[in-house]
Amino acid sequence: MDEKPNLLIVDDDKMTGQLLAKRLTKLNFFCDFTSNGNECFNYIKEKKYDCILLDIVMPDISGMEVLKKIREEQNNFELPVIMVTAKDEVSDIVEALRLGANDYLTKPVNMEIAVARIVTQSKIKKLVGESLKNRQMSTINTMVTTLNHEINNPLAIAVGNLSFSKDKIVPERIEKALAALKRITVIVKKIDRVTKGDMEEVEYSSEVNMFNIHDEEKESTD
Amino acid sequence: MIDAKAIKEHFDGDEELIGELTEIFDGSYPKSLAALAVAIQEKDFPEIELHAHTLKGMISNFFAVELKNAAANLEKIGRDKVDTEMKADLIYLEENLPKVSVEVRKVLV
Repeated sequence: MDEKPNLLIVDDDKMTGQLLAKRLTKLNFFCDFTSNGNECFNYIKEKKYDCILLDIVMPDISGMEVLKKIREEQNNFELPVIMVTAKDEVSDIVEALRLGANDYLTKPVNMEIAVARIVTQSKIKKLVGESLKNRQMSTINTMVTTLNHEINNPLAIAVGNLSFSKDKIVPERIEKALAALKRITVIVKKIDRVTKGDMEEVEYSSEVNMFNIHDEEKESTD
Repeated sequence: MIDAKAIKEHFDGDEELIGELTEIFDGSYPKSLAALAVAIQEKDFPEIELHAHTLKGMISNFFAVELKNAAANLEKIGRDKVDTEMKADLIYLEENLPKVSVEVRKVLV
């Protein structure tokens, strides 16, 4: 990875958590540490992390509950979570994976394995993010192209009607030209919103979202 | 009690880090051990599980198998909420946890 990954370590055992942070920092990771499961949500709000290393057994709020809350806001591509646990029961690990953990490490943490898993999850996060961005750009480009085509019709109408009115003012033709120009104005505003990314994503079906680019002003037609 | 070879291998021979680890351990385990003792006295099984689990995690860094097993036994008792003999494992932890850092320092150059 080109950039140093940002990690958040959450473990009520300060010894284990601080040790892990030290060892990862020596390996060029940026590490924050908290021993309080509830505090980690504040850390996540303040900073973008590439991965969270999360203990399972903690007082006040368990790692599983922390994981559930994280997954309510961010999926496992947006914020990878690796459970770190002294628990060697298969059922706990399976439960964590079912709740949305990306992977797990057992204590004492083997650093080679830890680094490999952290780097893998961070790379996946980056790749998925780039892929989504590319898809969005591709969608935006398609929308702009479509909207540009949409301008041609009213432009032709405006030009046609104004040309006709060069020698003699015909109010109806001026009205049509104005309506067509107003239509162009609306389309240009849409293009502006699309290129600025100022669009609301709305659910189209259970699997597909669409960008809503309709304006609140009534769009005039010719 | 500890596995010096395993510790050195695990920490890539970084004796400075091992030394720091030992210091942090000495500063951390007493609180968890005291809380565990209280939990056992009060037969507070969730607290027994929690503190035994924490100690087990700390001990695992030193590859001290018997100490880890003692903590693991208590953790299991806490999780299963079985009212059974716990004093022996607690005493074992109380007597031997202070010896961990002493043994670690002996093997550091």
